[in-house]
Amino acid sequence: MKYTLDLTYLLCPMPVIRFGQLAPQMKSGDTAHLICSDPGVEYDVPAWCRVHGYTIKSIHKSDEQILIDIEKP
Amino acid sequence: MNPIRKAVALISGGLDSMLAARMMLEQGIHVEGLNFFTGFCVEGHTHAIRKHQQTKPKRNNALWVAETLGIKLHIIDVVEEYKDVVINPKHGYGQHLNPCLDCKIFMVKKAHEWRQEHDFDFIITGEVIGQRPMSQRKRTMPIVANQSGAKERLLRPLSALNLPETLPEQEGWVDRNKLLAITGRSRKEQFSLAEQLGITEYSQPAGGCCFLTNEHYSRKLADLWQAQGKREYDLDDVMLLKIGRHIRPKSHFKVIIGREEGENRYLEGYRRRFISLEPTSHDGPIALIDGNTTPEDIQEAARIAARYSQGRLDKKVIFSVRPAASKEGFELSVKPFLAEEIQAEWMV
Repeated sequence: MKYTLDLTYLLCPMPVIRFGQLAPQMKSGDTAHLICSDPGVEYDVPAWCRVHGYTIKSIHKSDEQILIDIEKP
Repeated sequence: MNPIRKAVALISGGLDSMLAARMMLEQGIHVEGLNFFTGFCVEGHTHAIRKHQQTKPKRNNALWVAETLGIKLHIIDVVEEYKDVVINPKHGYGQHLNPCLDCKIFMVKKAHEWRQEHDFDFIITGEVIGQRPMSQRKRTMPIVANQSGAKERLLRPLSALNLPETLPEQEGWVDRNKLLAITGRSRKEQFSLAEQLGITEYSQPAGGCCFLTNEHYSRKLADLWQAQGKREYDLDDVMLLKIGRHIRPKSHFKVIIGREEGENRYLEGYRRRFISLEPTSHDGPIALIDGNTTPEDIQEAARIAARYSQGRLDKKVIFSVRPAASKEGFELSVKPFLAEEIQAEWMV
């Protein structure tokens, strides 16, 4: 299953808090697509994933957004 | 075989909590971290907002500590529950609007609840006797332990030898001989311990991490409460008070003006909630109007905002005025206030 979280305008640490609230609902192989605007997510989300054993599949940046795809192992 | 004992550590992201957690790991304790988000923390997001601080590391320090130590970290949103701590602190405020003792009791209480829910054995903090004027004193640290409910399951490894034995020490889960007796505000012992443990990088240790200890921020929060006629806030209020110039020309409204590019971009996100002013004839910051305003008030707000634009010395500055949550606005032409017309008492 693919989840999408719109985290636009949320600043650290709210993006990882929101994803942390979703994560327990995800099953192995599920993915989450995060739509973010806080530059801090480029560090926070990968760090959270490393700490909790999730996999960053991709990070795409534009002027307005940072899009992160995560897979639950 | 003895079971592995489990401790939950309050991790602020500073050095002391990092050292406390590491000391437990060295004794074979399984440690997981808790970090509570109250909204008032001085952390990476304030750097993330301001463009001139873009080179500062934007990491969440608590996450960084967890990764460095190899422990899990649970970041928990307590913004709503924390309101009662800020608005009605039973032990009062410190020098500003900092309810430090109530805050520490609250956080240890939340950690105690988490400990029980997740079947952990005890709680650790990086508290040091004498380091903080309200919450970290020999007289108040027992209050934290008792009023949080954690009682003898709260261990402070850095100061343990100056405090009564706790349950983990009595039960032999933790060797008291390996705990420390650090007291006071000097950081020397912590720096020395960090070096011994091979910890060479750490964030600003043990202080300056909460906006409520900041005089200017506290003044803005008090102003908000006075203007509202009640002690309430939401997360947007907390965040907005951290940025921009706040100027209150009349008791029923204030103008929030961005100070630089990053803040302006951040304030744009609040157009959904406030009337916004954006200069169109000159370069200048975006401004938000917080309050119930008349057309004359909007005019006054625009004259203030014009003062901070590139047109401040010109005869007129033209703004696009957009009502809250509206994509359509109207044009407003104003004469900028002179510097001396911006009253000192307006500045929050």
